[in-house]
Amino acid sequence: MSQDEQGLLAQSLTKVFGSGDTAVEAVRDVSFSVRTGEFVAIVGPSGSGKTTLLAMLGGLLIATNGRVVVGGSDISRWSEAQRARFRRERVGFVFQGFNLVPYLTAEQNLMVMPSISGKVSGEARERARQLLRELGVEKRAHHLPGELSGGERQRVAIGRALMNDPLLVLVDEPTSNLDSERGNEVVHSLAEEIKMRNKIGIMVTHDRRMLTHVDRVLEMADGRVQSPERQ
Amino acid sequence: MLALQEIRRKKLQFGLISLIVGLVVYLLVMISALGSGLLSAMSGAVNSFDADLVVFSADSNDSFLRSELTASQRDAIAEVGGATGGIGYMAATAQEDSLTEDVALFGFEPGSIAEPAVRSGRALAREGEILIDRGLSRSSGLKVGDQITMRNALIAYNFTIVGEVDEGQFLGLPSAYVLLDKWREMRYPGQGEDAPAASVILARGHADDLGARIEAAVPNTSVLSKSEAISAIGGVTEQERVVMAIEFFGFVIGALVIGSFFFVLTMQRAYEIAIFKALGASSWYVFGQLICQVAAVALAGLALGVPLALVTEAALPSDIPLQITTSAFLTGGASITIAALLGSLFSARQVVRVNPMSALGQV
Repeated sequence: MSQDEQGLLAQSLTKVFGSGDTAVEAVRDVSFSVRTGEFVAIVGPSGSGKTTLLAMLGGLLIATNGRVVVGGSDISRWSEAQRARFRRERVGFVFQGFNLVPYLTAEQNLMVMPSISGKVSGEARERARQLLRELGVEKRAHHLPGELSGGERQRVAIGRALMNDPLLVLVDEPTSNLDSERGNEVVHSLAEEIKMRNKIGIMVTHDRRMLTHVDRVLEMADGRVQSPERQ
Repeated sequence: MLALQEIRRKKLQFGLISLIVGLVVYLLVMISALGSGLLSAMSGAVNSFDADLVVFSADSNDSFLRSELTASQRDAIAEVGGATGGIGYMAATAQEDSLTEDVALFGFEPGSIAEPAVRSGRALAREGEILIDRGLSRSSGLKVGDQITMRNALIAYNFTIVGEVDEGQFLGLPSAYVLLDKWREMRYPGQGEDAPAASVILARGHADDLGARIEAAVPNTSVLSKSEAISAIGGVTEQERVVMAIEFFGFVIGALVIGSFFFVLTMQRAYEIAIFKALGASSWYVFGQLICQVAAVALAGLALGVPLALVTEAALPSDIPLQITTSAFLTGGASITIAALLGSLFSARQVVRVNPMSALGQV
């Protein structure tokens, strides 16, 4: 496994929910690393622990065992406040489904990131417009999520994920609400952004058609990464 | 400001909450105003006395109705120091054509601190003249220049109204003012110089111990501060307690209503809060947004409730004892601030509890 000071390293990651007889091991002893500029897909059936793994990588969940190192920092034992700061400064999330704030316009949804970091400025606003332009939804900047198509919504969500110029971009089932053509377009532009901006990209998906856009695929089943394969 | 964007997009929801807050403000201001109105009906005329202290006779149990001070006591009180003035009180019936109305008739020592300020017309110059309170002229239609008969038991006295004062009511009766000597003649008919000189003596002075010095120097006197004298009026203390209890319940219920509205509002937004937290917003940030919204709603509620109270005051007939005072607004405003704060504290717990994982569709 290649070591990269700036990349992501997952080491013996395990997540157990519950305790005693009802304990469920969602993720078992998973280790892998991702370099900057690399776009990796995690595939597997539902219930295989993909989303739990993603949540641990992004500092949303604390691992029961093992550690996560992102850009040289071990985040696995950080407090909720430290992890919140990590998320708003270094992580870009694209959640599954309708994940935009419904009462904010597309542009305002991107402005959520500088707003929660206390960094609202004309510069940030300019960056939001620039991202919407790159993603081809600048004409929809002042529309509410409810007025956007599924593909447009997903593009706005990607714009939001890139807004804080994160090191790590985490994507959960980006195509679940899109037809395959739209899904392809969206994942393609996501892959381009990750390459161009030298991010660490990790996508959880069950849609194998999307794997043409990624550099590497991790197969997950029963909480374990089965066979890291190269494409 | 993202928090205000939400209000903009959810006009109906926030509008309704503002309406509720506004109605609670209205309720609290009105209760407070009715309380002060009631208090003023009982003791407004006493509160209008331009005095710090009221000297009663010691055996009167500090009652304006029973207190009687002799001429020598009056002179002795004046010698102790400070400004003083005699006040006489009696209940009388005002009659004019078809009008019959009970009034609180006060006699005052002309030129002393006991003399009420004349708002229209002129001051009393002779014994056959009388000043009436604005409340009386409003309720009875009497005006400056009218002739009026004041009846005490079987004896009637004729007066000419020469001026109006704005002193308020006493024991629920509108007040009227005559010269102290005339009062003495009416209150104690046929007793001449043996009659008591006044019911009470008002005193005003900078010295803190003026009251104690009067009590020490003049036998058979009891000195109360003006507010103590008001509380000593029969029923006033009980009435104040009742009004305070009503205000307290109104406040508690209002606070609970407003608090639970914000609570429900926060609960409904658990998913949106989860998105914010998953993206890395601190609980403080989310709570700060909530405080912004609470402040906006509280302001909107005040902007609604206060004018509503003022309109009601103007629309209600004058015989309803309603007195909107600054303290009524302060009570309303402070209650809403506290209620909103309590409501957001409930919500703060919820904000902390929202699990950001729920934004991923998990948990």
